Amino acid sequence: MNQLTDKTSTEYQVFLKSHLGYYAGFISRFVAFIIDMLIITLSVLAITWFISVTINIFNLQAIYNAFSQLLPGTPSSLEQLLSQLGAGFSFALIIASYFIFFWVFAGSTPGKALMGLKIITTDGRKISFFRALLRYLAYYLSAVLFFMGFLWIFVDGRRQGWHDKIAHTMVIYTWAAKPDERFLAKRIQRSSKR
Amino acid sequence: MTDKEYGTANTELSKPISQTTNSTNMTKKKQSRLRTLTRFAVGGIALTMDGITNQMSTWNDISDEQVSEIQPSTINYEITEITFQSQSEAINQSEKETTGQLARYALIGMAISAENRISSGFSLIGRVANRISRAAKPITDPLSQSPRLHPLSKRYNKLVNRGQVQVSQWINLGREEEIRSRQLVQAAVSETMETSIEYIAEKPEIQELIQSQSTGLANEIVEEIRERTVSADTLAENILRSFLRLTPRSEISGPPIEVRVRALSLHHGSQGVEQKDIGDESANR
Repeated sequence: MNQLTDKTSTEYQVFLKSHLGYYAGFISRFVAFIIDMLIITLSVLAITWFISVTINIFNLQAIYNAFSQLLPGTPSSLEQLLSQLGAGFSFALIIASYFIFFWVFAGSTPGKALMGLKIITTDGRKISFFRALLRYLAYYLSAVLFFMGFLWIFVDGRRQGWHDKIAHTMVIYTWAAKPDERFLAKRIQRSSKR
Repeated sequence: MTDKEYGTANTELSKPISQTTNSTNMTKKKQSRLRTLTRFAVGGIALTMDGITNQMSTWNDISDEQVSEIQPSTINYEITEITFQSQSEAINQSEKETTGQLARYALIGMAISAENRISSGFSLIGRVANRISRAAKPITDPLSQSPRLHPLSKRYNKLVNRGQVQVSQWINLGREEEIRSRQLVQAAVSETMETSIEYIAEKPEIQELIQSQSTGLANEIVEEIRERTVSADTLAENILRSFLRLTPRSEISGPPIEVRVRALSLHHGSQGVEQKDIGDESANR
């Protein structure tokens, strides 16, 4: 099972040459984040559509109207009430649940998994619920100062953002990551011409 | 009716009614099968001819366009013969070409001009026939209008009329049958296509092949994106680090061994990897 016992094996050579287990960079993580946000947005849209269809099918508006007359100060329509609740609270809750759930149970969100990234603690263990919660809350701190906490990944020795520093976590490549040498050569050539 | 024939007819009559009905049904079935086959053949030919005609006109248009793009000024379409702008140009052109090429061109030219001659020959035959009939009219008219030949011409006209009726019947039948035959062939072709597609789609080998190909393609795309982002990571960080005069990434030590072991175990699906196996190597790096 263990391929590394044979140090002449291709598996071992690939391991040595690749960035497997190295700290993941800003762009990979940013792409993963974009994918996650796309998934969340599409899911929220689907849920909203489902709710509005349910309201129409079961004529819930009429039932709500009957109750809203008894309670003064409530919004005039059910969809208005739901959108008030949804916009303020539900969306944030959905995002938080999404990230924390996937971090704890899978070690990475679908976007991160697609990019071959994983979140682990600084000593190499799996992330716990409280650590995940702390990391999520620290996201806001990283974003609050012109996203400096996220851009810190560029300059940090372990490619950690502020949220990673606070939660003692780091993001690593879980695939035999190798930079595309042709792509790099092209970029370097172009920048040297300038 | 001879005795033999009478006997046969008698035996036919003596057969039970159900048996006679069965044989009639069988004959009808055979006839309808034959009719279907005929329709199928007619429809197939009609559709094939349509397809070929359409395709040929398309190819012709394309080739005309291509030729006009290549040599817009050297081809005269009206007489379908290639004429060079000057004689010297034609000589230069033929000097460049090999004997084989020239022979081929000569054959092609001959075929095209033969086709032209045949079509002009047909129109010439038509014109000649018209002239002959006009010239012969003064001779044939008195004969055809002669009262002695009246019964003969009457019979001839009757025959012609009957023939015309028959031909018009055939035309009507052909018109109806062509539509039916086309519909039959179209239905048969679409059904056959559907059945074949269904058969192919249901085959597990084909399904497996399609699945593996799509998975392979998706994996390749993901791999490509990952590689590009890793490259972008390296590039962006190098630029920023050199700009801020920070230690280059290559000079910073990698992650601790337990982290790499963990990554490797995740890479292999959480199988236990012994730390000591890579410990020595990592320390050397």
